[in-house]
Amino acid sequence: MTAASASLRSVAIRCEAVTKHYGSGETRIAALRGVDLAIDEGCMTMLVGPSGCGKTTLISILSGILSQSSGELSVFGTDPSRLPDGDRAEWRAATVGFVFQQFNLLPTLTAAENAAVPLLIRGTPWPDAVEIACGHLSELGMAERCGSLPRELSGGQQQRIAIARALVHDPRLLVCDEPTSALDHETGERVIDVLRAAALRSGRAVIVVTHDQRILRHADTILRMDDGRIIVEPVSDAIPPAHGA
Amino acid sequence: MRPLDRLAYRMLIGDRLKYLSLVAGLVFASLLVVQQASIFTGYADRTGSWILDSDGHDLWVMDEQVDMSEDSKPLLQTALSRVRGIDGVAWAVPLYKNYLKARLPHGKLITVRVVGIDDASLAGGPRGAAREALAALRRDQAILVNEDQLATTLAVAQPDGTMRPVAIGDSISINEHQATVAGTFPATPDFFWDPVLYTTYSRALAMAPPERRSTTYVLVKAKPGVELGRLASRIREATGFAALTTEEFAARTRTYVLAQTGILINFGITIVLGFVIGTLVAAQTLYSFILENQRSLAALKAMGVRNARIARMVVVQVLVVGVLGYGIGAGLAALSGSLLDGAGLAFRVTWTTLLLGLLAILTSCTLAGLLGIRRVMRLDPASVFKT
Repeated sequence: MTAASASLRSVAIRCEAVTKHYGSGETRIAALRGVDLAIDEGCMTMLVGPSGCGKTTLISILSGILSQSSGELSVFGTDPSRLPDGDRAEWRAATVGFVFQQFNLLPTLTAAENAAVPLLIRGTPWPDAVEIACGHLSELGMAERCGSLPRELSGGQQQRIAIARALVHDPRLLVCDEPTSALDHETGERVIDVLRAAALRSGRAVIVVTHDQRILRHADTILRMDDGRIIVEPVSDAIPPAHGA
Repeated sequence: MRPLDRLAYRMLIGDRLKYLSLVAGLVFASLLVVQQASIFTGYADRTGSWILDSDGHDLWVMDEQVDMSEDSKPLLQTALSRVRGIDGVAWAVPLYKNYLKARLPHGKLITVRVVGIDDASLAGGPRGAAREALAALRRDQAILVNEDQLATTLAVAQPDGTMRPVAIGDSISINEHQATVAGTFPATPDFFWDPVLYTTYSRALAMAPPERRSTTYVLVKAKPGVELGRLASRIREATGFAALTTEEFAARTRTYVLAQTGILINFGITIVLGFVIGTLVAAQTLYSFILENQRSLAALKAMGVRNARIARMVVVQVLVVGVLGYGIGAGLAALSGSLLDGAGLAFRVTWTTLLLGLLAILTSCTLAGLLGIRRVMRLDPASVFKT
């Protein structure tokens, strides 16, 4: 990422003094202690840090699953925490794609049906949604396994279904939690390429929570967290970029 | 079907074992509820069989304190003429009914219900009796017997020890008075088990122990165009007797029997147990189903499914298993009733029973579903990021 190209990009996500507390009184725990960050459109941002540092809380807030306790948030111009619950759910369905570390595939649905879930949530008729999802699976090398159940597939194949599911409705924000943890190096690289391709499109952003040092070089920005704060922002200079930026 | 409804259905049927055990539990509960309710209805209906089988009249006039058809509180014979004098009465005839001892040809002593109908008109006789059979009552010592009991309660032992049905021409001693079987009549299965023997009113009085009061009922036919409710009121006002239509008398008998016997409580307990078992089975299975799927449901919530839509998905699952379980259960209940019909089981499936049964099962499923929905509502979608 060059300084010139960065200056042309608009900000996809902005946080100012975002905090999050759980519980109250003596049991009150501060998960985020004032996070400030800006993530540009067209960037792949990786979020790293030790367990319990607040990464999950931060991506939950950025994706509109949790609300911050205080601070300002803008995700493509919207603060999801200000939306009523129902509208926030619809905002997530339209705006965010998720790749969960545990995949969270529905065990009774085929690969294509699982990948189609975000479209089904938005009311796309079942056959159309499955057909579109199958196309996405094909792009991930899973064309032959569209009709397979998750239990019939390897961890890597299940992860690719999860990625297809995250991309199938063309979300503006892609939130990925350890997307390569179950994959071998080669497959991991391919998955990151797919995520990167998604990020590079205009008006999109990808946030990846990872402990996988091998993939950090693919990041445009690396945010390191500790004890509920971003301690280095950005640290992209720390890792040689892999894309010749 | 909406996509998310179909998704809910697919989630439900995906785990075949759980799905089948859920349906099986509801089938069992439905079977229990519908079968017991239908047997109860069948027995309740039978309490009025004798009343409903009596033919030819519009009103039953009886002592005000009579609670049911088997409760004999005879009237003075003057009651007949008092009733006949009331405006709107076309005709009125006496009817005698009492429990008497009868000795069968081979000496066995049994209790029978002797019904004496008007000698002249034979009004109040069994509805199903052939004209010839009824006319045979005019013969000397004649009685009519229920054809269903010929080979059972009234069966006669032969010298070789075998039993044969009592037959026309056989003599039966009723309270030491000789009677001859002159014919048979078909009757609706009755809740009360003692055989009914029809004879004429005067012959029944001759058989019965002498009493000052000898008219059990006065049967009344209204003049054409007379409204029965008004006529019954006039009779009540003029005589102080109760005057009921056939349906009212049958209902009074049914109410009394259900209130005075344990039948309502016993069947009620079984029906409630079926309901409770159904609820518990459905609740336990549905709840564990939801627990097992809570991670998937949390993922759906994270991906943007509203709580209301998640609740709707649970409702779809509940409705599918509820309607399917109930359909199979009610069908099996009807089948069992049909198969046991030949064995004399009191069994009547009514639309009311089916609708109430469906309501009960859906209520039980809804209660079960509510537990699950409550759990789902509280699911933290952020939990999907936890390992």
